[in-house]
Amino acid sequence: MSTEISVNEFRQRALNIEAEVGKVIVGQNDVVRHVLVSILAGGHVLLEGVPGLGKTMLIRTLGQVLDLKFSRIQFTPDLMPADITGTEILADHDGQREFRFQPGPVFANLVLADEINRATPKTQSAMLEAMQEHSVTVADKTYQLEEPFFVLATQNPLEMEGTYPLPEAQLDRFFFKVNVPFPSAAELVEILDRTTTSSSPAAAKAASGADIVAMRNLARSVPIPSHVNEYAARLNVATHPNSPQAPALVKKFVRYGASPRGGQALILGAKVTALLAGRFNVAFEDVQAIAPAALRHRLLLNFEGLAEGINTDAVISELLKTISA
Amino acid sequence: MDKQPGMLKELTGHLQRWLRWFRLQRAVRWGGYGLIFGLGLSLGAALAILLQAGLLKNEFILVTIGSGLFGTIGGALASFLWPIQRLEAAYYFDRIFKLRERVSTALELAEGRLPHPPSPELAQQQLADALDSARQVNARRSLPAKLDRFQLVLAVLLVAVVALVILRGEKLFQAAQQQRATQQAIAQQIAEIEALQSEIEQNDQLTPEQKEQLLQPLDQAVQDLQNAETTEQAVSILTQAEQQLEALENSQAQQQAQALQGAGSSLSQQEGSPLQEFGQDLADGDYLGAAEELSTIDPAALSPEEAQQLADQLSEAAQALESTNPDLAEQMQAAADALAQGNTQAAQEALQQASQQVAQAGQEIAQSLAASQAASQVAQGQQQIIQGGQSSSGQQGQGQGQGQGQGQGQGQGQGQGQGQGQGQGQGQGQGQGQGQGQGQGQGQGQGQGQGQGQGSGSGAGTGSGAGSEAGDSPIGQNNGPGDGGETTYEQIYAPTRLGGEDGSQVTLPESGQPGDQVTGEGATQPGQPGVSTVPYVEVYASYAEAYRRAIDSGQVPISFRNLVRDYFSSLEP
Repeated sequence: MSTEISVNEFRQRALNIEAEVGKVIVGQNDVVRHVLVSILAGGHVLLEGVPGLGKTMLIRTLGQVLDLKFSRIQFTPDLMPADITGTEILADHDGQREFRFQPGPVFANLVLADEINRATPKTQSAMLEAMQEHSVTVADKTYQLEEPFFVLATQNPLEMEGTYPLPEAQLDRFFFKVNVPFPSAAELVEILDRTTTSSSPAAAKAASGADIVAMRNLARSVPIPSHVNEYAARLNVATHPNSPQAPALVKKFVRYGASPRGGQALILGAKVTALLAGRFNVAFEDVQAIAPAALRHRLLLNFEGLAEGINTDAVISELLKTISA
Repeated sequence: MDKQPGMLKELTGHLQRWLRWFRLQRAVRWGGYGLIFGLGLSLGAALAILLQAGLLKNEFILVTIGSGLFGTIGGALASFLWPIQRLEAAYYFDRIFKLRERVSTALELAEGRLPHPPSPELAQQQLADALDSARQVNARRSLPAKLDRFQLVLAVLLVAVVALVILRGEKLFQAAQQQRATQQAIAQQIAEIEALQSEIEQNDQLTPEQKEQLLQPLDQAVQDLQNAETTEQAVSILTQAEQQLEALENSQAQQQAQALQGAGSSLSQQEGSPLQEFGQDLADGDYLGAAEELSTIDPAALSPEEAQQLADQLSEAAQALESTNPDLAEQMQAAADALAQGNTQAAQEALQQASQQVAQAGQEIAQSLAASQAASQVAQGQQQIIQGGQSSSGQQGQGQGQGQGQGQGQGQGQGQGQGQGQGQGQGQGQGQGQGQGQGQGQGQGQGQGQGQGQGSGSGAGTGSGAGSEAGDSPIGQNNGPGDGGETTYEQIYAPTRLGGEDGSQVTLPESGQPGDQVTGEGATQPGQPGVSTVPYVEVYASYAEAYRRAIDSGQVPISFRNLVRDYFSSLEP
């Protein structure tokens, strides 16, 4: 396992990962790119899209390509926190009975939290510590999760009955929120071809966990010029309606803007994006490219915004137009 | 790592080259803005001043072109020399050349501005990447040093407006020229009046009260002239001053002076007489000296023969002065009588009285003389102001004369009229009719106007000829109406027969009625131009007096007064 990696290797491996995922997933290049950026930046991703668009397939494929320990949790209303984190069970050990910790599915490198908004808030919050601290505490004992650790969650925006929308605190833990669009007609033809025949494509392993860690470390060392850094900060600040720099749309429809985690996501995501573009420094366009994914779930619309059906992407678009680079 | 300084130097070199080109490009752009700003500002200001008749043509050209040049050079220089930080320039070039912040990152890394610098290898890779990108930049293509279309259109528009004003704004420039000439004439008159005041103050023959009386109207005139803006105002002020000064004149002072001078001449020829010095002073106009001489005569010191001789001379002088200065004559006669009777005491007293009378007469004469001189000078000042305005318009008229020469000649000249204006001064028209005309206009260049007509004037002072400029020269002597390039005056109806109606027979109102005074009757004929038998210069004065009276008495409506003044001023010989 190499601990250091060059920029070219970074880029090559990232492109390999995308290529392998592309063997299974048709289209959705932006979605794949954003998920990959998030993983390489060390963040969790919330995928939102209607059923059948390949969200689960994408994450499962990523698990295969990355050669990571993968686990899938299907969130349901009766899912309990212990079902995720694990629990202590009574077990025989050398003729004596004792409590032994049985790790839950969260003890993996890549955790698929499928339809995460169907679980109760109590269960959802069980993911909080794991996502933020990369550790789990059960019965006063804290268990460290193996690195790299990523949570890739999905949620369905249509079927809201019987769901529990993620609280703001948990939403903020997600590095990116990626909207999965419906494929184009051409992509759909390709999907139908691949999935209705006897042969099904398989993705090969393209990177190991150690590679991911090394790539993540390299991404963090990419230099970012001071004025780009300031630009990201200004974007972050301008999402707050009481900020003087906030555009009119933000002042009118946003209740609360992005937290500092939003700024971190902008910078880290931009660094990975710069490396994927073969550059050694962050540019304004890197920040702008990942701004919607980094900020859309961090903007809380007010009642007027919700009533008017305002899309946070429109607010972010206005933000990018208003705040000069 | 060894390559890093070299690469950084090369990158900095690229940056410097871009910066130089950027300064040039910015200088061109801001030079254009400076041109537009300078032209626009100066044009606006110049037009504002021009509309108030305050700017001459050459001044307008100087102001607009000078401001345009100043704006262009100033804008270009300021933008070229404006300080630019290297890092700020790098930010700008990154954006303009689409370098994606490569150069600015490299510079910040080199200058140690980043708090968490990357590994040296990554930094060097970044620098190399920035240098590769910089090498592919074509600054001249990305930053074209040229004016944009908006600037070009605006600059051309402004230049066109300036050219239009220069080519078509003759009337404005002429008005300004006239205004300027008027102001100069007024300033000159102020200076002359101040000199006159100084003379009056230094006149020893005047008492302080007399000086005060003489200076008061002059002070007022100077004060009013300083606020005068037009020829009419200035002339009016001077006229008023002249009238006030004339009021101070003594109508008999001149006769008194002549009589005293005559008597003095006679007495000065009396060799050995006590009155010889007195007579000499009188003949010289030194009345104070004469009074002094008279008061020093001591009759008691004279022999009876001398006393008798003195009495005869005094009596003779008294007779000479009796008609012009009876008081003095009476005292001199009283002294003569007293001397004849041998009453030296009475003679002495009478001589003292006569001495005082001489001194008083001298003061009156001096005041009258000073008032007369001042009034005369003020009157001259009026003429100079009028001529100042006319010479200005005459110079302008010159151009128009050139332009209208043929038309004038054809319409009004008798026989042939040829006008030539040379240099400054009066144009001369030679013609077969009335001979020479002295016009106020000047003709430059050469031109000819020919024509035949029935006008009484021929040979226009404005000259006829072909020229390029138009003006409003007043009509010169012997000009017919409309001749001489007159354009500024409104058309004035000049009736050719009484009643102003067509036809050859006119019935005068009220004429022929019983008890009414018949002012005229019978058939009238249309005026026959060109058969004037009275020289123009001889009738002008009475006409001018008539129009002044009409204006002063309020017979001419206020709105027409200037028109009438202008008209008669233009007729002035």
